[in-house]
Amino acid sequence: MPTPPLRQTEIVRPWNGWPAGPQKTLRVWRSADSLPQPLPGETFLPFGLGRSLSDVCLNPDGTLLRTPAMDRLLAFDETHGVIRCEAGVTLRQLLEFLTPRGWFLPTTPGTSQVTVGGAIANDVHGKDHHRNGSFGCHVTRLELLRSDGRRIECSPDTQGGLFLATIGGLGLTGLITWAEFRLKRMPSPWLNVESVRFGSLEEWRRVAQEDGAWEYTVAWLDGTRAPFPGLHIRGNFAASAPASYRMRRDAALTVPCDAPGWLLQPWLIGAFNRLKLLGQPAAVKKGRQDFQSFFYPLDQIGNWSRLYGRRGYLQYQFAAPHEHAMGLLQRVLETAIASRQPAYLVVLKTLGSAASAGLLSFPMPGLTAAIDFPNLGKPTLELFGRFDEMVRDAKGRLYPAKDPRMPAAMFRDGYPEWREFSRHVDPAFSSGFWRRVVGNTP
Amino acid sequence: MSKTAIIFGATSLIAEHTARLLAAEGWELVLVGRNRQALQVVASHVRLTGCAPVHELHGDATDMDSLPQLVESANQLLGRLDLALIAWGCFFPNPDARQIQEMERINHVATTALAKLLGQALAQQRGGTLAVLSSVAGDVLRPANYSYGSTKAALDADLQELRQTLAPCGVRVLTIKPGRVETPLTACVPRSPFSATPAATAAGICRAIQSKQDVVYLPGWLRAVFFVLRSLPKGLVKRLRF
Repeated sequence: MPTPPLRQTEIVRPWNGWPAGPQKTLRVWRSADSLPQPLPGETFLPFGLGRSLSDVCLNPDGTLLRTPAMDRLLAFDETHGVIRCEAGVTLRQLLEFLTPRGWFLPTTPGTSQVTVGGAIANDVHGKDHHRNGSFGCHVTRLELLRSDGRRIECSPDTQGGLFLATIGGLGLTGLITWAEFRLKRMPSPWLNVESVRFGSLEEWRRVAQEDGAWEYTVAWLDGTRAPFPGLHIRGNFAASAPASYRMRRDAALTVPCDAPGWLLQPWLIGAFNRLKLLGQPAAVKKGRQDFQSFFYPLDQIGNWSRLYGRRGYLQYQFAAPHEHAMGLLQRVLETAIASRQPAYLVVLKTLGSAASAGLLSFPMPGLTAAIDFPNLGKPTLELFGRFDEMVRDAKGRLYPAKDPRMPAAMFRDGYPEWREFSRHVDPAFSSGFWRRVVGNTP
Repeated sequence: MSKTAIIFGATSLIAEHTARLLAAEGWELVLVGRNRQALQVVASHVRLTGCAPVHELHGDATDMDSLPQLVESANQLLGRLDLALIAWGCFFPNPDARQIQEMERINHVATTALAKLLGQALAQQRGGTLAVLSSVAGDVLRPANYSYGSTKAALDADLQELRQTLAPCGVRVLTIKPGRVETPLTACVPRSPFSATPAATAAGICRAIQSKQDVVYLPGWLRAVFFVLRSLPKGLVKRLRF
């Protein structure tokens, strides 16, 4: 008789460090394995690398399914650029395999330390969203393992409803065992990069309107002082560049433990931002960067979020339609300064009009801003509450993967298809996030 | 010409990661496993990421009747063999009599039988490495290891004997002693903060294969730990709770 699987207890923290706590975990080792039988009342939630900044990856009182060994590539069509792999494969692993062969991820978030399953479950987007849509737009097939023991292969054509629910489905529709998706040709590992300085949000909008020829764009700005100067960065893969490139190791430097909470002070961040802007006196700086430095600068430093201290940080990321987005951003940043909690890091990205890949996909045509704050506890949560009102007025929505406190009403207003989605949720799957925003609503 | 290796128990995580590393260095591989579907999945990854042929051989090498046939098929696939690795294991917490028997059969009897057969093949070609996954559990027997430790201790003794037999023929016998590794084998007991990953253990195995060592501990510092534990007086050990 096989030994019943033992629920281990581990301390699990999402990337932003809050809310962390002990969690029961189970491991699923192979994509062909069956799911363990849930105990009475027990719920499951798949957990990849825990890079979410929220409780979408946590399941307090339930059990996390971890898949450390489901990291196998299953098939690769080098002619057409299609890959099939197990859901625990990381983007980093894929890059090591693909880039020497002249292929690149269809789109990529700002870190390569996420799993394919996580990228699908959060329908992640990247600097090319205005051109290529989100990750889910490129998924052709995937397999779900449900708690009733069924294996369901989903694609847009077969099991389309379940497929749409699983893209951006926050891991709630079952365990993704493998996925197949289309890749992008990569002419070389290098990008031609242009950094344009802007003095205000208004100026940024004018600069961003000239993005037409650029595949990858993103803006960084100094949120500590109005009128919010910053740098608009855009890049294209270089067609003619040396092809030979050896990927650097990730986390060459690692923050070994939580820094003291007082380390990152607003004045320090302000000074850092000024220095960063002073570093580029020219209006436009052109150069060449390897893809690792361009896409994943922070992967060089392991556990950098520990610099924020034990309480970690909170990110407020909203998306809003074009007509309201700029005004909204201005109000949010000014409110933050007025309440003496200036934003530490602000990143802006224009979102394209590609149809949302999934029922709960975050991107919408318009603009998204990701704004980092140190977690001061109650004052920060109160500030976020005021932001919520503004986002709602602007017909925007919040990113579940970034928000460990999103009120239920914000979720339901932002994702009107949540009821349709909930029909596809596996009855034995749940998460801290899901219980918070849906509660016991049938 | 590329080097060649045969791996028994290839669907075990440590074996799988070792296969990945060897294939990336250009070794031609035969992967032997009894779970056909799992073997296919393991082989597909090794084949995609490696740079030499990878063969799958489906069969149960712990079954004495099919064993000679398996080794023969492997010989035909590879010709000369540079490395044979046996990397299977069986572990039950709180085993009953039947489970003790099963651990003994797989960890000791079947492993030794296969090792002898492979040793003969290597001796005939007058060279090569026979690497066998044992465990630090065989070094110091303790209640928490149940009967697992004694099966590994018996295996260690047999490997030592085999080492002496084969040394004149230029065949090296490498005993690999990992500590706790995070694999399905140990998923049934509470996690240890000291456990290693299969990937790190596999990297250690590949280093050991290149070296001239007879017995390797993974990670290396376990050698010192178990030297101390082995040297303790038995009267003291009996009072220890570990």
